[in-house]
Amino acid sequence: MVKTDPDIDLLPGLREGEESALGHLMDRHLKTVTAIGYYMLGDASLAEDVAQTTFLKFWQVAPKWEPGRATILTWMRRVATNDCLDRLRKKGPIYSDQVPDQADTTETALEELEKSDTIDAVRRALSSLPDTQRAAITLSYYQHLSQKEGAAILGQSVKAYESLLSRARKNLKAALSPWVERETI
Amino acid sequence: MSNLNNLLDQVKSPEPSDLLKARILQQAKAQRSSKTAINSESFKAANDDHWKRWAGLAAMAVILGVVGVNTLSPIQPNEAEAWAETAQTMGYEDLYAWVEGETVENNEIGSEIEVGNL
Repeated sequence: MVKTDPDIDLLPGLREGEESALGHLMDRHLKTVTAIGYYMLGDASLAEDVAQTTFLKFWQVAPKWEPGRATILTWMRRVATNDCLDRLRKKGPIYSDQVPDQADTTETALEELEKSDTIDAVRRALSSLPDTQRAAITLSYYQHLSQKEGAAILGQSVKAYESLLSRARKNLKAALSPWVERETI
Repeated sequence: MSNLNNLLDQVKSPEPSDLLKARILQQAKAQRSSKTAINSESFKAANDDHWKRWAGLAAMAVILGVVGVNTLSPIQPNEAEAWAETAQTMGYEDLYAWVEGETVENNEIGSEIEVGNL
C-alpha cells in the first residue's frame, strides 16, 4: 500500500524550480534532517552540511520525482543517513565537547553542570556505538520512526533492524550504567 | 528501559542556524541556473527502486538457467567413459551401469511423451 506523501503539494513548484517551494520544504523538514546529522555525527556544523547536501540533492532530482513511491521525507532521511554513514566511515568517530567552563558554585549552576555532565556522557555513549547502531537509535528514538520505516531507510530486514536496535540499547545501557543506576535509586 | 529513554531525551538537537536556509537557497539557485535541460524521459524516477527487484530476479533467472543447463546437459561420450572407468576403479561399476541405464530409459520415455503430445 502506498503511503500518501504530505509534501506532494510542493512537488509542482519544486519540479518547476521555484525556490519558494524549496523554502517551504525546508520550513517543514530542515530541523528533522539536521537532527539526523546531529545525532549521527555529534556536531551541529557537520549536521548542517548534511542537511544542505540532502536538500540540494532533492532539488536536483525533483524534476524526475515520481509520486506514489517513497515519500519525499523518507527519501531525504535515507540520503541524510547514508551521507552520515559515509562521513563516519571516512573520518571515524567525531567528538565535540561542549561542557561549560564557568566555575559558579550556586545551586543552579551546580545542577546545570551536572546536567551538562550527563548530556556529555550520553553524547559520548552515542558516539561510541557502531555506525549502524547509532543510525538505528537516531531513526527509531530521535526520529520516532517505526521499525519497518527504519529498516527500509537502512536497507535491512525488519528482523535485522530489530536486532540492531536491541544491541544498540544494550550497548548504551552498558556505557551509561552509572547514570541509569543513579536514576533507579 | 525508560531510564535510558530519559537519558536520551536530555540530548536535544540544536535548531538549524538562520543562515542555513539562505545558504541552501543560494546554492539551489546557482545549481538550477547552471543546469542544462534534462530529458526526464531518459532518466528513471529518483525514488524508483523497483529496478533493484527486477535486477535480482534477472540474476536469479540467469543462475537457474546456468545450473539447469549444466544439470540437464547429457554426459559427453568422453566424460561417460571417464566416469565409467572411475566407477570401475572404485568397484561401483554395477551401480554406475544401473544409474546410466535408468537415465537412458527416462530420456526415451520423455521423448515418447513429447511425440505423443504433438
